Amino acid sequence: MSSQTINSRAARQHPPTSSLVTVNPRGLKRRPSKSGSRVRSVISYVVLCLVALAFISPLVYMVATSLKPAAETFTTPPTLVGSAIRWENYSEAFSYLPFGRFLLNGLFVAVIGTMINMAVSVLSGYAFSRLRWKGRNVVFVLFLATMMIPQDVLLIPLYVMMQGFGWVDSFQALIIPFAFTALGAFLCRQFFLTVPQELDDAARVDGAGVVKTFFHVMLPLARPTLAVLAVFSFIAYWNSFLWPLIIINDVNTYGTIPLGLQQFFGQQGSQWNLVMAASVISMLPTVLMLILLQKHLIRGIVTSGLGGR
Amino acid sequence: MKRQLMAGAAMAGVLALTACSGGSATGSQSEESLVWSMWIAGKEDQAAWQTVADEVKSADKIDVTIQGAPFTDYWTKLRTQLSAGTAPCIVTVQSLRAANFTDVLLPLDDLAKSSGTALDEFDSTALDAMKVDGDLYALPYDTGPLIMYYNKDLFKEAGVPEPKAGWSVDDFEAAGAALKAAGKQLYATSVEDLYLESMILSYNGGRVISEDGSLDVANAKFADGLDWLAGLVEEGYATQASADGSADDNAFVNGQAATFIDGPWSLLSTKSKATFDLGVVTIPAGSTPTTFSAGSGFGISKECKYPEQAYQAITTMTTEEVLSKLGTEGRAFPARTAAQSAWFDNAGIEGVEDTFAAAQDGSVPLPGNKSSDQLAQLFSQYAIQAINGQQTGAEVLDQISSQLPK
Amino acid sequence: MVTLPAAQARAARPSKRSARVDPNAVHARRSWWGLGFASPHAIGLALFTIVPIVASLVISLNNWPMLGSPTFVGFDNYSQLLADPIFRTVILNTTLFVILYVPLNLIVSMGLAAWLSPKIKHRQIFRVLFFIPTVTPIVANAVIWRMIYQPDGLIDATMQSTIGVSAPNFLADENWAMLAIVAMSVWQGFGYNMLIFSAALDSVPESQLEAAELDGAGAWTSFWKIKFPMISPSIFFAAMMTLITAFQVFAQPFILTKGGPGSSTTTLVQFIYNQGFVFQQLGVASAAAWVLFIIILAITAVQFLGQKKWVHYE
Repeated sequence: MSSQTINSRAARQHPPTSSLVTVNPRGLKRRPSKSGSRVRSVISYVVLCLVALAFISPLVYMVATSLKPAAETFTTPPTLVGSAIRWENYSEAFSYLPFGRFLLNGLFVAVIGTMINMAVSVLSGYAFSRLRWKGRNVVFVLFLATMMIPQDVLLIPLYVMMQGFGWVDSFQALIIPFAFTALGAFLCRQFFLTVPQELDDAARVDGAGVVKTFFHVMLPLARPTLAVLAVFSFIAYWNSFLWPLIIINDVNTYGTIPLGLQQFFGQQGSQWNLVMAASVISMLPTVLMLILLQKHLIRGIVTSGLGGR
Repeated sequence: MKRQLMAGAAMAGVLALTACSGGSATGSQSEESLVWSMWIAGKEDQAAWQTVADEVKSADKIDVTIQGAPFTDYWTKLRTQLSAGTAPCIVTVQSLRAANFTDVLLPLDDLAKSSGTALDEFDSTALDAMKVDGDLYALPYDTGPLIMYYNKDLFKEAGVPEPKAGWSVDDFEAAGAALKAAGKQLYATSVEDLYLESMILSYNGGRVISEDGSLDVANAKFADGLDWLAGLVEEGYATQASADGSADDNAFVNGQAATFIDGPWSLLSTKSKATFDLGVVTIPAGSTPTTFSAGSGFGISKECKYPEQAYQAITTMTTEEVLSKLGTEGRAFPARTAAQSAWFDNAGIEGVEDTFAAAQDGSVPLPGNKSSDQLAQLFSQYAIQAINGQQTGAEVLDQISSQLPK
Repeated sequence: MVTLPAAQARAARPSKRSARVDPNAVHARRSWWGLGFASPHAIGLALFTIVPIVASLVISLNNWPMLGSPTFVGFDNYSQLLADPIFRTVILNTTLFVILYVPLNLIVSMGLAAWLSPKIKHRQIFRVLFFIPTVTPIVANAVIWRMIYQPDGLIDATMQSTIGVSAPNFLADENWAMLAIVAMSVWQGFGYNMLIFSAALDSVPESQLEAAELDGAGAWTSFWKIKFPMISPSIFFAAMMTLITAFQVFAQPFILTKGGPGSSTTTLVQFIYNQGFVFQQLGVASAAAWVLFIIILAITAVQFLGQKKWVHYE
């Protein structure tokens, strides 16, 4: 089964995907009647904009509500702007729960987890591609097989394990168990397989050993792949909800953003303007990341087959 | 270069976090520093309980750190904490849920005896509510009958005479018709255990937990009560039921519904949120006014390594002085008889004392049961269907009862 | 910057052969190095994935309270689950969610991917826009939708003020709650698949499309006859991953409905959460988790067997 996984993944990687980031001009020239197609494409564009607008309206509604006075959150007909723009909602949401703390915790957990994930993945990815050793293929297939295990099946045993380690209510519990995903190894392996043989040979001629070749030749080359892995790992940690919900009781000390938001909702459910302000705060980091790193992100999705998550 | 910067930033982050967390709060409890688990319902709430913690600091030289969670999450979190070896020493429990936690709470009778606590100074109803099978599991800080809050402005607008203590279900429904005519709803529906059960008890005496604490979920009268509420919703007198525990407060505070049920502990927070004139009255009665009373108190977890210190702390947290202060703030209707006047003096609502006297006269304790937490969860899922008219009360209670241990 | 995707595409074929002879593995003598490089990851994975999955099976065969010592009960937890009408409801709910969510997700993502062809101006902006909910915390997304769905919320208020009719109480009505959750989930979840399909469509060779056009094929025909077969491996993979994650739905119902009304939106993972962390029955929870695992494995296997009929590898 897993070899078939490789096949399907391999197959999907055939397409040269560089056209993703640059606009491909093809298609412009194969239209029989120019005016008819222009009208059609303008209509299509307008409809697309409307669809996009409808799609984004919940987010607009969220931002709008986050700036309204409390009494105007539910009005018929719904309004976009209240009688006043209340930026204070944000400072109130912030002062009510330690959102600064949650942001810091979330960042800490995501950054450390991501760094561990990157480090172990680049090493194992290298071992699976450019080093030969006994049992390599068996271990790699095992790695791939773990990708089929739904994480929720692991919740109970991981909880018991954390209890045994005395890690309930700790940063370790948030970081460590999910820092060893097989996906990272797979990504890095796929990359290292593409590096030309001549580079190794040249390094060997220069007298470099495995370690030196890895750090001085291979690691610098792998940067773009690692960037992709980093973005995914970061987002996964940042948005993780069920595991923190289970393992963290002391939310004010160890809470991450989703947990803090859920707690805020539990306490302030009736103050929707504040809840929405808190939601906006919780969304900012990853949305910013998306806008800044869209090229990496999109390429990462396309090359790694991360669909459906 | 970039990499070094990143690594440096990460290291700085690690240092900053270890510096300001200093490890798990509950893991670092000591004789002078205890953790207190409490449900917190808002910023003012947090501040009020902090003053109680400060009191312990100045009286007993013990640092008490509050670990707050919203009420809905509180019980699940507390359970896991008490089982995971990260138990806080001081634990707040609600009278009707004390029975759920007897396996993890320390009976306080010996400590009370050895430190000479005058237990008879507590309101006897409040104290009895904290006993399970004769053992005391918490020192109560508040108690009180469930009451109905109402929006005076809405009643006036609709031309309905203000309700008086002891008003009947007929009066209630008549007010519903008048409010409907004025485009408002009478009652903000809740499916939370205490509120739902009080509303129905007062309507026809139906109850799902009998006086001896045993479950009687398939109670026919209670089913009738659910159908009555469904009728109110259908008439447009009451809001639809929602799984969202704060939907009723929300509808009331927004001026959409004119009444809702809550305990005396919510008086201050409701008053601060309401932009209208607030009144309190007994729950409308089918025949004789009656309501449940419930309260909360501070207990000590069995795992706590410093029970003497914890006991010292909870004694301070329930002194007449502290409870008077909580009463003055409207935070809690004090569980000490001597402190109760403070609450009345500062409620700032006309006729509140009469309402209370009437409510208390007719109040009966809501006993605990080992399944009360599960029951509450099932109510929030199933009672909605009865009240919104998708199923009959009897059908719903049947489904709930099939999921509870016999 | 290294042109990674193209390079990876080139490398894809050798990876298939790697099981036998690997021309890239030059450091044949350095066997220990390979083990050393792989071991941190392998140990971590063993400790936090392989040991737990085995442990999960062991726990499921025990009466394992959160506090106190476990006792072996054999398959009692499983037979208890199978006899529990609520568990059956939960399985049905989860299946219903999957049946509604997966096709909708694929249709929406495929439709938008096809629409956002390279000739669309600013397609990059549209892509980022449609992708936003995918990267934001699902808790935040669910909270927003709660406000949209509830009485007097965005939908209800809009309907009242335009057509004068109240909207259903989506989250408290048995007939609507699951649909409401599915709609919200599709909104937040189709981004990944859209990007994957979009990239796959971009890669369909121009020459083939032009040939089809010369034969008089319209957009619809050329989509089904040419594009669809060519991107079928992508669709297959996306469908499988979407299916696996759909079976694990938790946060949306947890925030929106708490599993109600009744148990009409209680999902398998919420059932596991309740059994494990509300009722403290880790054994029963683990057994339910294994049922989930087996369902997913079975469906994956069926999909792999069925793929030959419609998935075309070059």
